[in-house]
Amino acid sequence: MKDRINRIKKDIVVIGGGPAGMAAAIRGAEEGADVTLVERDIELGGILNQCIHNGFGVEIYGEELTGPEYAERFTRRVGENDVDVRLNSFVLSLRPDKVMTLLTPEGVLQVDADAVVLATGAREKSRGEIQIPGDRPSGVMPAGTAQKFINKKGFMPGKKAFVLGSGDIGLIISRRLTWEGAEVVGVAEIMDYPTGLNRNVVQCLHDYDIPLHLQHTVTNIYGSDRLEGIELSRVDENFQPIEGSGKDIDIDLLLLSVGLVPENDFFKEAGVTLSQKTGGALVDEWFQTDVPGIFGCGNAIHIEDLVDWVTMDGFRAGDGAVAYAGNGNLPDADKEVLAGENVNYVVPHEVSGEDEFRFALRVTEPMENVDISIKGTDISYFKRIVTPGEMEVEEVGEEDLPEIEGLEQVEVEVTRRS
Amino acid sequence: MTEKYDVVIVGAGVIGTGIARELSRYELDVAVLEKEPDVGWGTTKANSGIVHAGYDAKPGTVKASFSAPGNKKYEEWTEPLSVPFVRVGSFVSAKDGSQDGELERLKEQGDENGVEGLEIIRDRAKIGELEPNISEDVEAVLHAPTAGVVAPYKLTIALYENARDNGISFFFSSPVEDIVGLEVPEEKGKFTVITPEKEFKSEYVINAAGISSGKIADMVGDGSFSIFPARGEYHLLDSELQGYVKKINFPLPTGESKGILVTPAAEGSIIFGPNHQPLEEPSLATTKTGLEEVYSGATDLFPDIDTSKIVTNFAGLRAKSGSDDFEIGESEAVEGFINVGGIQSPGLTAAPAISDHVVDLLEEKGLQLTPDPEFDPEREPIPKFADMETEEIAEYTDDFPAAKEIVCRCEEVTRAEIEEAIDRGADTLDGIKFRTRSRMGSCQGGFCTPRLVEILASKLGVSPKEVTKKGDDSRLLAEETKEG
Repeated sequence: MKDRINRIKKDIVVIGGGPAGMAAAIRGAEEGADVTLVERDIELGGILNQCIHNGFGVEIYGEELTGPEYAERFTRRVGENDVDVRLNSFVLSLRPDKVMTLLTPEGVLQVDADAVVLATGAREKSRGEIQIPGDRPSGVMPAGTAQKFINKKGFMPGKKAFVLGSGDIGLIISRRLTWEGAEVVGVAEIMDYPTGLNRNVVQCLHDYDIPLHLQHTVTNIYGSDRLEGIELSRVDENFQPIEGSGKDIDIDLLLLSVGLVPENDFFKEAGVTLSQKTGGALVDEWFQTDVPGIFGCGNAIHIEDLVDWVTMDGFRAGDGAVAYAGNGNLPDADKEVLAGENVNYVVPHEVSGEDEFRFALRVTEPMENVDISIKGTDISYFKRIVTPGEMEVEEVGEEDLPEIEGLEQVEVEVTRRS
Repeated sequence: MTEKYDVVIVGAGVIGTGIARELSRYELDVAVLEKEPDVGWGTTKANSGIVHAGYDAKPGTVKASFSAPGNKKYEEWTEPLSVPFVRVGSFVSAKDGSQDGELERLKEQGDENGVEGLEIIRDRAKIGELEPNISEDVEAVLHAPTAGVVAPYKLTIALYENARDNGISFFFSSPVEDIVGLEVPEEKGKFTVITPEKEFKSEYVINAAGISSGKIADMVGDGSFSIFPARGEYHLLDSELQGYVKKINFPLPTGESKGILVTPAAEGSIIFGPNHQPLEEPSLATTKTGLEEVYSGATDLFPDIDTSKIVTNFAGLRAKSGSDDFEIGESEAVEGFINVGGIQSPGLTAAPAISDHVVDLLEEKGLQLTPDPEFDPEREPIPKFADMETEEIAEYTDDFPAAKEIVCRCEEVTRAEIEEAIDRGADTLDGIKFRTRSRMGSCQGGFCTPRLVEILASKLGVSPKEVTKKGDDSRLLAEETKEG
């Protein structure tokens, strides 16, 4: 019997053809590596393709592109470089030694790679995970699923909607539904502040008079076949619904924008250690995981606000993968990066102190007039407003490295100015 | 329009399809009428998926007479029908010495019911060996090695496919509105069973209508039992936790139910539940307090289980009769009308034994059973991509190009499986889900639903707007966007 499995050897395999994966693949190819980019969809771009609103590329291009336009620019760059793009292709398995099995339109392909970059993105949390009680009708779905129906398939999933969660997807879908003639009755957020970007609160809710109910959540779902309504309740400081505060709202569509979770299945399969906080892999300043030669970037590591940051992380991971594939090593990242006072998490989780790096963090609560600083150094950045909904990104430049070098741990803290 | 049958079965749950499948061995005209658009969508769909050993039922009850025998017959169904069934064994756990007597009582009851292999384990090390993650407070367990797990909907789908292939007629979305019994039997057709679209004349009627079995009996003037539905709520965990729980774990039983259990599901995930809530009217809605009760019951037995891996919650209904026992036998009110009502737990366990019993009963009542030489006891499952080895995938995808598209990533379900499920009768998203596991994984359909709608619409030749989650009015899409 003939062997039906083809086997090839590659310097770098990038899994996921969204913005993170495209950037990693482009950088790898630019640096002369032999790169394969694996994408399960029929086109590159990932979730960008369904984000037809603008606001992409402000940091990188200084202009506001739509998602598909941003994807198009990078798709072109992938094409200009010599990247082996595999569309409609799925990863069946990934081993710690970086041998993986792909299912491609041409058949099963086994690839032995020197370095692997996982750029698998994130998924939306489902109703079951947040355990909204009630009936189980149709008409309850994650906001991104609705976005796909509307923007990619040309169908409206309902006419009278309510959105649970004030994450960016929930805010943007509220505006989109309104444009399509649907009524958005309101948006509820369990926290006492919106969790999406402020610009989206203004441009997607305020501009369309859509009410935002802070400290509220959905406590019941009605309708045996199709959704007929929900119960909306106020919550106390422990996020527990306040008895007697519930009111019923008639709707036919409930969209959930209650958080994203990094797609970490392949990290787990390859034996990579995950962060308890983000659900993504623990990485160093090159986005290398604790399995040598396996890198991760974009939303697969932590949920980012802007595609520009995702792209920059992808470039950096691409650099790391090239260095690893080339000579098998990178500077030893032996300094743990810790989330100090008022910091929910920081990425990367380890740095070498030998190269300049960028770090991203989220604070634990909204604050004004704060310093983001690295403990035991003079490295500090003033911020007038910080909120968990907006990721803070700072650079540690070459001039700062001598200070980092002396540290055993890099503790990032956010302190209020009195 | 009227059709004539030897036997009409009301209800296509595990009992109705099980009886239909056993009757399909003979040269008979049998119709199964189901009010839902698919098989197994009543009590069958949402329960713990346990084939009980048979020690729970009080000796002398109808439940007891069918439990252990049903358990023993399980492979007679699951092997030819290719349905996964594993005898993982069950534990009833006692947390302190004062509960030891209860374990003894259950064991004696089980011995009397004919359950084999029961043993009480008091050696803590051995308990830990068999169930490593169970609470350290558990001091003794009743171990029943013959208990097993099966996906009740998978079993029912398999029984249905096999019965259908052997000539049984199924009518879905066909709620029975009335049954008229005739004084003078005409040629084939003592009963007329009325549904909105059709009337069915039949010599015998089998009432396997679950929650509605009391109402169906009422239609022929049999008021011997009523159904008092009791809801049970569940949490389902990600199949990623497969292996964390090895046995079917019960706490000590309460008066009303067997308590909140923690069990591996036949398809790899872990189930918590059910609680027990008597209801005036049937409802499948989950409740905050109920889900919390289930959560706390389950974490009492497995304190360290990662509950962040809960992927969904659901509720099922118990068809509890007034006597709290199965109501099986020919109606005293009407000859030829056979009740198989009040089938709550352990109904799934008892189903094979009940089916055989009903066939015997029909013969006793004069139904001529001529074996059908064409009867084929076997049914092929849909080839499961997720279980294939790499070499197998290479070969399979060569032969079936539709298997090169993985539609549901969480559970690795290909377009080939989805199309096959539709070819076998699934015409809703839930129908596809129960046949293939698409939308059952960690993202709960977040990614694949738009594609599934497309595939289903295209196979059925309808607009995506007509596609439903579970029939009737459960459409997913309202209208085209402005740009279409």
